[in-house]
Amino acid sequence: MVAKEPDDVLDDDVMVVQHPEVLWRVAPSHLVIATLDDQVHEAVGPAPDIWRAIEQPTAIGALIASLAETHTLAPEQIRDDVIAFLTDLVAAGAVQTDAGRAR
Amino acid sequence: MMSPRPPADPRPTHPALRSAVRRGLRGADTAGGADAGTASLGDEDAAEVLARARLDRTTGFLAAALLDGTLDASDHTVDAATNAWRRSLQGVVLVEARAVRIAVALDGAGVRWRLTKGAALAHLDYRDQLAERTFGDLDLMIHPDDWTATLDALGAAGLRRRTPELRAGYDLRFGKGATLVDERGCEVDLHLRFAIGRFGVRSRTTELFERADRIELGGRVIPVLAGPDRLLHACHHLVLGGCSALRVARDVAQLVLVSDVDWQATVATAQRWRVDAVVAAGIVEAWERLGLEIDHPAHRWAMAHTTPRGDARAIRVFARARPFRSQALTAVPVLAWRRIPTYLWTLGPRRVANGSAHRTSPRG
Repeated sequence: MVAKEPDDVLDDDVMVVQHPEVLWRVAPSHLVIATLDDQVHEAVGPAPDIWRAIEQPTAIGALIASLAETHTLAPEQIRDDVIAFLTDLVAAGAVQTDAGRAR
Repeated sequence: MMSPRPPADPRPTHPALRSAVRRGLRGADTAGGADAGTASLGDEDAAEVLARARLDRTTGFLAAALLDGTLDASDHTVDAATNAWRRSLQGVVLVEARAVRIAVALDGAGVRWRLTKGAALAHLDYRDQLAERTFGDLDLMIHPDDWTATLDALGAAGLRRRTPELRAGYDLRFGKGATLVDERGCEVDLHLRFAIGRFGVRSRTTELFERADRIELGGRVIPVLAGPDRLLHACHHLVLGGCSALRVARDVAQLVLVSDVDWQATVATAQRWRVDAVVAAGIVEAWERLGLEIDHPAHRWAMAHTTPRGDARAIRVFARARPFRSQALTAVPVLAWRRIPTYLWTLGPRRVANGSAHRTSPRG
């Protein structure tokens, strides 16, 4: 896994996982993360569900499918938002990906 | 047992807050008790309860109870409590980030240390309510032989003592520890003992380093006080600490009822240290403050405990939130006579550069 690759395009085949060197808490509809350099990031809505789902390495496509099923939505309805959120987390150093590596 | 400790805080706890802080405590939700039938928070009390919850760092318990409907209140109150909780969580993750950096510094210096109180309890004892147990500072138990190395290592990492040592050598011989602050003013409490005074000087805290639990923070393994020792510390905090009593009462009850720590091991340590009166008072007070009517052998032991008169007197000094010197003087009757002059000397007025005398009120 790569610690931070914000310029990589995230797609369904990319594996994502929580970065081990972050501190976090989830509350109902609320996620707060701190990196070791004291940067704090917060997100609301389904963010805790996404965060929990990537405790182990997970393909983004599988993550979207699982979230869509949980929320009884079509994957297309949530894909852009999920990828945008993951992109932010990667840029913040809170999520690792295997993007940019041969798959 | 008649509790030797009258409540230090004269303000009664609002039943809604007490109910929220009891939520999730095994047996408390269904046992009736003092708050049976009170599950609403009216607008007329909401501001005061929320202010109290912020002060006691119980916004997590309060907001969670409001969000899941355990407690009924207006939308405005729910939003205010939820926002307060979220702000607390920002502080929590920053404290944990600091814990990781400090762990790097202490481990690098070869220091023997244990994480205790807030972060340790949240991760090990509130696994089902992790986010609800919030905290605002960092508490570390330091092996006395490594005290100087600890201060050097954390000084090199940019932390400074909030107040100077009372007199040279006081910390190690009699003190509770020191509070350090970083460049942002964030606190790190270093403990050599769980308390000042009578019960502090009786303790033998090197024993605490013969055992440990562990948690992982930010990818780093962090040593934590063992369960029975966390209960011992929580009882000291509740009985001799003087603030945040409702939250600390929950900690004591949580360790006994939910974590199911070996409370008899706690008592055994306390008896060796001759601080069993603190453990008994802590358990009794936790039950009283939370309005628990749960039968448990630890509570039965505490209720049957006979507290020596001198211990009861000392506990009352702390309960009344008397000044530092009064609390420290509770040690005098239990010190070896040869140590008393030195002890009193350390507590006396301290000469400062301009020649005036002043008293410090160190952390202990």
